[in-house]
Amino acid sequence: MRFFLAFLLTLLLAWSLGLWLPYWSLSLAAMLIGFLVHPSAWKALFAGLLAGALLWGGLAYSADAANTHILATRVGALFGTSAAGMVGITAAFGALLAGLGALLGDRIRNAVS
Amino acid sequence: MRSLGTAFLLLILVSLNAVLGTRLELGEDPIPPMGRFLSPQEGFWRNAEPGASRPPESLSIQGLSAPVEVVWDESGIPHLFAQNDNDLYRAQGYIVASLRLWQLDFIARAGAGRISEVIGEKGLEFDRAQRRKGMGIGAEASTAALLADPLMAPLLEAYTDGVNQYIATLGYRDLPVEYKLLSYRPEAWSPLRSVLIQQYMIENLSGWDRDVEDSHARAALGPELSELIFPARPPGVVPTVPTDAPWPFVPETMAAPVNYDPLAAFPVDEHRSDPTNGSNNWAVHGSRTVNGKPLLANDTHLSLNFPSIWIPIQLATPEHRVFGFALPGACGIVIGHNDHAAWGVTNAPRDTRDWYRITWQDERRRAYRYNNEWLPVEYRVENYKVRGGQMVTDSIRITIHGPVMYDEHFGDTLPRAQLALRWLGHDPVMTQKALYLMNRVKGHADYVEALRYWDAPAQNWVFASTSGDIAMRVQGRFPNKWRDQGRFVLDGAEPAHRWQGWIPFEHTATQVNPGRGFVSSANQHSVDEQYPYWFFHGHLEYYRNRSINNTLADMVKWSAADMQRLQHSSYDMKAVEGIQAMMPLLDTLSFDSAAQATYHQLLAWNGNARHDGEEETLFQLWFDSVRTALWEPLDRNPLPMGDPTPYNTIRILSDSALRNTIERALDVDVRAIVQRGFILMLEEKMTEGPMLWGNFNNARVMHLARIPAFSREQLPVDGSGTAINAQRGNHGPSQRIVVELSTPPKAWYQMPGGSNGNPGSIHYDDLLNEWYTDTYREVHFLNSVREGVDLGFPKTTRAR
Repeated sequence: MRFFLAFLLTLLLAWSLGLWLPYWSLSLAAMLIGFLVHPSAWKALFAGLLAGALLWGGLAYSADAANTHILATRVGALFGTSAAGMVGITAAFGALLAGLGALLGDRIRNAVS
Repeated sequence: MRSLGTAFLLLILVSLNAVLGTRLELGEDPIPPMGRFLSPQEGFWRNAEPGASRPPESLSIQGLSAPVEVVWDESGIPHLFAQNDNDLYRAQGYIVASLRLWQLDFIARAGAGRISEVIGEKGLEFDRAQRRKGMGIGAEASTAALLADPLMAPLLEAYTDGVNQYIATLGYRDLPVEYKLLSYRPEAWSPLRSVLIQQYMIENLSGWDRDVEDSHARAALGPELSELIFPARPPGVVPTVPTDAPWPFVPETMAAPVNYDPLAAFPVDEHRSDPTNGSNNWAVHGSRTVNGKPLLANDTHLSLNFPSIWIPIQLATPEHRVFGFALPGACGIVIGHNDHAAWGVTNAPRDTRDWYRITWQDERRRAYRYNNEWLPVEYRVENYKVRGGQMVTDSIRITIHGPVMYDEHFGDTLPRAQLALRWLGHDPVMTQKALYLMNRVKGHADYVEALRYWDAPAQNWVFASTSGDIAMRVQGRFPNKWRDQGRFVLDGAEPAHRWQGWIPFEHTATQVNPGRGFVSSANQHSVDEQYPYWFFHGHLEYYRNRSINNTLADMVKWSAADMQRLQHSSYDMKAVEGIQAMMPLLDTLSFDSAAQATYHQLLAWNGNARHDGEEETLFQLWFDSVRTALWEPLDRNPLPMGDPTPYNTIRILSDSALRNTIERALDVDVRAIVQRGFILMLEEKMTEGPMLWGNFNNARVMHLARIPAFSREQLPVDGSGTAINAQRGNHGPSQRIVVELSTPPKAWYQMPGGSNGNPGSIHYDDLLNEWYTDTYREVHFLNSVREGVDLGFPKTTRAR
């Protein structure tokens, strides 16, 4: 339950902060939720990974679909991959930034409590 | 222990976020800050425009005196409706920036020699050359002149303000994708930056000469042989404006100084523009068209880039409306039509770039000889903020002639007298005023009056009006030169060698409603020898112009569709004449069956350079090896002379007397060279397989920052550099327009790209596929916003 709560809240908070703040707000959001919700370390990590991947991957996927892959195909060629590959890379970076943030939030909570 | 692990994790997370926000200089291509770049909420995904998205419903432009509305047609072309000029150009600045900001910023940097600030060390050589040839000198002079003009100053300021208002709306997430990729921010706009783009075009179109090479040829070969190999005016030339009747003015020609002796032994300029930047235009009188209305056509040949150099746009106020192609940074349109007339341009090559030998007082080179005195040089100090490197400072010596481009600090490794550059591009130009007036012409007299302000780059201005006039005018500011002045390196110590004055505006070569029923130009000689003033340029066009004239003369009645087909003609007259000249010199008795087959293949060819045919490739391989071998003795001379033109090479190959002269003078065997060239071509054909012209030509449109993934290569395009469809590699027709001067005029257009500079927009390259073929889009010349909305086009409003 805490896993699901952490996942959902990270998704929401990260998306909201991202409207105004730069990319690092993803780590920040995951850290805050990891701290506040405080599931176990593994659950925090996976909730963060999943939320980050889903948020960045999902937003990238929908932008790419609406754009009929025009831009992602071009940018993908720069990075030696396809439009779908760019969505995947974006999701992976999202997962990394949020996962580590969530784990850190959880660890800080542990350290202070 | 636990808190140590947490601190370590914190360190990792902070470092990771910092690294992902930093541009990494690893190897050739720096990596953008990946966190920012990939974030779907601020990175490149934000530039992925939804395909079916509608443009914004309102724009936040401040400072308008009345509402401005914009309608966007199916090609994403904006149609601007304003209540007055000031609002119109403020909105043009804003809208053009919204479509092309990165391009504006980048070309202005290129014009100023500031590319290294963005791309680093590899741009420094280019930047230094730009500044040392005097780009800044000209741009600063022109800006001052425009801002001193009571008509133009407020309009240029309004345009500038429009661009800056758009920039002010942008956070990182709204930046064009190139900024995110190359990781820098747009710089504020200014009138100077608009003029720097104009300066960039002037350099593109008048930044070439071969004075040094011609001086070397004259010194090494003597006057007769050098004139045979590098003639100023070879036989068979048809000028843009032929002398139909005596010129209606008393010429004020200059006499050559008696002691003039061309000088030699100088470094060759390695930073010249591409001399093949050219174009086609023509207009046909109503007496020769199907529906009795004049027709006008124009296609401009430049480097083919993304974003497209041209910005298609309609601009309207209650006083006028105009549709056409604008240049980034400039108010109004350059090529197009209004309700009364249509106009277009081709480059008019003219020698407006001369080199003066400087006699230094001593090795410090601080003073130079002029008119029996020693004059001190002035210095122009230039600073280069090279990205990721140190600030580089350059001080450029400036003489009364102009800057000393090459010296001991730049390119000139030989300790010899140095050259100062006198270029028309150093002078203030008012071309933007000419465009303002041209956009509002009502007839031929207005067109002439508008061109009073067209200083540079010199253009062949074609014109046609709904009242039935057609005209051609070779317009520019031309130094009034004595015969051969500036064809060779001049003596910087001699006052008589300076430019003495200008050809009067009233003595401009022009043609109005000529008897042949058409006017045309294609960068050939502007005038014939009966025009009283000295005309010269080292690179002129010899084939497209005759193809156009022959076709226009042959056909009795023209339609707009015929014009469009003519713009796509891939007939290569150079190849046809080259094959005709070389074939009779072949010894075919020794040919095997493969050689026979290729010989007959070329003999049967109709001269159309089709991308899916072999013949153009075969001709070019054959002819290139003949040229190289024939002129190889010139290359052995220590003084570089450059290449004789293909036209003159073919002329010599075709004429046995000329061949004999060349064989004796250069000790070559022309027949053997032609035979060997054919065999070499054949060998390549046998080993390489099908020699499809499309593969060799590699027609392509390249992104301005040379990002391959944003470019399109190996396009299936017919034509060649000397065909009317002048497609050669990364160079070719950068727009095409055909206008029928009915009331109101109807027009059709093409461009190798699209209206929008964003690689994430469907309008980035949506017009490219039609540009291969003779499928044209009809211009929506809208009367009102209402008309556009009725056609289903989305509209953007700015209520004041």
